[in-house]
Amino acid sequence: MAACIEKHDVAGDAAVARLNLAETIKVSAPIVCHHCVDAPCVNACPQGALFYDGDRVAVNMDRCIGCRSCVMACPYGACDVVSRLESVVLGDLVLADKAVAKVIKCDLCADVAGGPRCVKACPTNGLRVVDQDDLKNMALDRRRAAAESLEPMMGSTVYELV
Amino acid sequence: MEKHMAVCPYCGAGCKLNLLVENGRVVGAEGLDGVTNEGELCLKGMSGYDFINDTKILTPRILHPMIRRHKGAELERVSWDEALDFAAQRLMEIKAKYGPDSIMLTGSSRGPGNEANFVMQKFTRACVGTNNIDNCARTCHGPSVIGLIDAVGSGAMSVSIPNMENADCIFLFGYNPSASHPIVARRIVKAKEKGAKIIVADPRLIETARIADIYMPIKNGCNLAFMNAFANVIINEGLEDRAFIEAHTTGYDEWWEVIKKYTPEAVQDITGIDPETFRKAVRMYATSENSIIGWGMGVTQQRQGVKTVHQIAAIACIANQIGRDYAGLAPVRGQNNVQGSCDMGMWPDLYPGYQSVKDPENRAKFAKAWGVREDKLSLEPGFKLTDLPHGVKEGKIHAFYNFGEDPLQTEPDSADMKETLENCEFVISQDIFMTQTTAYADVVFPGTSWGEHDGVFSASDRTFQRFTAAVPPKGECKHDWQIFSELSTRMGYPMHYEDTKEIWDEVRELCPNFYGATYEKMEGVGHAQWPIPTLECPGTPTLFKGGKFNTPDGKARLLAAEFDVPTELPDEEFPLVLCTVREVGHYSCRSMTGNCRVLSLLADEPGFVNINPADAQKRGIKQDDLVFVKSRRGKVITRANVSERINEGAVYMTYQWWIGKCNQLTMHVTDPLSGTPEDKHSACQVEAIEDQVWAERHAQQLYADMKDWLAGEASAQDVAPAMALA
Repeated sequence: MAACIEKHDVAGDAAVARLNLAETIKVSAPIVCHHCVDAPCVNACPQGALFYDGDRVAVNMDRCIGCRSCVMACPYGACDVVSRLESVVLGDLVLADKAVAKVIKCDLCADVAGGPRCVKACPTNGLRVVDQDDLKNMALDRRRAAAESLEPMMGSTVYELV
Repeated sequence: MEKHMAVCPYCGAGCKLNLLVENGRVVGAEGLDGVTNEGELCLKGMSGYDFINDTKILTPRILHPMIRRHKGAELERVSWDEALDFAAQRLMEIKAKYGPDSIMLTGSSRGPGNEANFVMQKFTRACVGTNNIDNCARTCHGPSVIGLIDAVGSGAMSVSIPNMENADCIFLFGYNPSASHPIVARRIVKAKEKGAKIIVADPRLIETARIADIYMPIKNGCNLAFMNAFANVIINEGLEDRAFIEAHTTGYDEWWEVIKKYTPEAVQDITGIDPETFRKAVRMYATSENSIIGWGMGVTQQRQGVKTVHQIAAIACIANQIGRDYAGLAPVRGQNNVQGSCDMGMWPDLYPGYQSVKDPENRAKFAKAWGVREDKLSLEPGFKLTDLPHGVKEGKIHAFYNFGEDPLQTEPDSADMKETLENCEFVISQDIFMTQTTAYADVVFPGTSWGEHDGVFSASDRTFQRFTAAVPPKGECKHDWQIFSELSTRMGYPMHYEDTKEIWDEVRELCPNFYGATYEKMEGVGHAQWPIPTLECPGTPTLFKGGKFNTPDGKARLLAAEFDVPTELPDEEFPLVLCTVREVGHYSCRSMTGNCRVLSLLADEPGFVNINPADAQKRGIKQDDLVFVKSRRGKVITRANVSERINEGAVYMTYQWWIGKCNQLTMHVTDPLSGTPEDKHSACQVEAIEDQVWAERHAQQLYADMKDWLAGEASAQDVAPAMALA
């Protein structure tokens, strides 16, 4: 969470953690955006503040109006909306401070080199980025494991036939 | 970008890191391949550097010396000469009037390092002429230091942190590593991955309990009964090592006389653990090839802390789970250099290197080295830090020299401590921040911050490591050892050092166990683990190998005592047990982490009281509600964190919060053997607040007032002293 806050602690952004630690009796887990393929938050956003950028769900904070539809839509609780005071300026002249809505959601640190900061920060390697290749390999491994678990049964069937 | 090697200034894990510097400002930290951290850092190591830059998020840095010309006057910025002259004169007056033992000093177990502490104790002993020097270990692992010196002869971890991951069984008792030492917790996760069994006994379902093979949710305050029964089962089930007991321990018969009645059945009402699970855990610990017991404040901040440590040591000895690389004792120290403060003799009865002040031979050695007459060094052990409040009340202590600590935040019963500081005739505070304690000082000395000076820290497992300055001192800040030297010189005992290496070499000469720890050996990510008696010695990761203990006769003493209930038990008015704990993203009194931007964004005032859902529901309290917590000592506002990991009947507050300050509620009762406060057990009540809008405003206001007060006190330094008339 600290690494996430640090990454977002820049002008125009909001220094709020995008991943949050959830603790139950059994589990401690950082809960963060899944970058869904058919993302409820993108579908819910009337302003295009949340949009697809390749395989990830990206964020354009400037478009957020703070309607919280994404917060309602996200099944993981991975979206939030906060308000921040920002100055309305005309040239160098500050006209007023007004509350501005900011959608808070993981952007996979797409705008900085080296991938997500949280992954790099975790001292127990509890986090990793899973991309399309990983998913494909995971599926292949699982299929192979499933097939192997069938082998003894097949063997015995063959034996009985003989 | 420049990179400067350092050691993390937070917990006792001793993580090596680089500070990244741009245009004279520290802008980042990156892990180095140190012996304990292997390139990893936790959130404090990674995001805990920017306090150096004087961010003024919580409270300002002190950059200029200030004095109050008389008690109660406004702080006034003066020149170094004037501040030092003023302090020297006042201390000498008090010494002349009430004797040297009327002056009490405390070392700093935080950023300053070993050299600064060594010079402070030298000033205390050789110049002031008293042994009234202590450090914050008194409030934390004091009972481990004392209890282990009694039992096995050395008050430190017997195993090294890296070796923890190779144990076959790790038993954690009253110790929550994932909050206190994330980088040590990482070793425990690794041990589990390698197949180690994990046993956890803690009233809270701590993070490690989730991966434990056996988790025992003990009742608060049961420690000695639990440990006595643990020892009892080892003997009654024949799991002890008779040959080891006979060859390497003394006192078995008397010990067993006490232990024999503590069966798990006999103490079940006290511990809350069913005998079957209990026995399973004992068997797992005693029969694993190599077992380590890790403990923390859950053991030490109790009424019977020292006696519990005695029993832990006895258990390791009778089961022969000690004296091997992966088997032994692991009291993991809380502050980055609290091991170092103890190593440097910031202890009322020990010279540096654990050499007793009562021994005339030691006195002769130090007197000779320091060039003072033998009778100038006191053979009498001095006051403990926790003697300060009653010492002032009884007119025994008239001056208090506080070095880099904040007792008003970290010691129990803050209201009483505030009175102590107000009533103490003369208070010096040498710090980097305007803390609550510094705000009550009559003289404020600005020391350099971690990141602005060089030195050596001792990690929790006796590992010396060097750290270096990354940026130059700010304002008029001086290195701590320079301040002590200049003050000492003014008080008639001249001291002068060129650099920290010169000081360290003096330490090495005086402490046989540290002699081989040269600066050269600790270059870069190098380290030296004591005992390291010769230049050739590679250091000693494991103590007591072959059953050789550091007691006078080389044998471990088996010590046992009867269980006593905690001092303050819950009753109708205060039905909940209050236990004070740690916040993962903050450290000690929070003057450092509270001034770090990211860490302060992660968690801020008024902090949290952790409470079980059933206890919360009974009181109509919901998650994140502001609530009042009150005890016989006071009442504070804080936020409720409702968690099923908390046991019913107890609440837990982290001691980092200045508004939600748990030490307004704790009581000043100490373990008589160590003077350590019973912070883990007092009685309190939690109350819902109906008007949450008011409560939010009220908490904000208290926080704003606190910051304004401290900024106001510090603002005296913005006014330069009037130019002296030509």
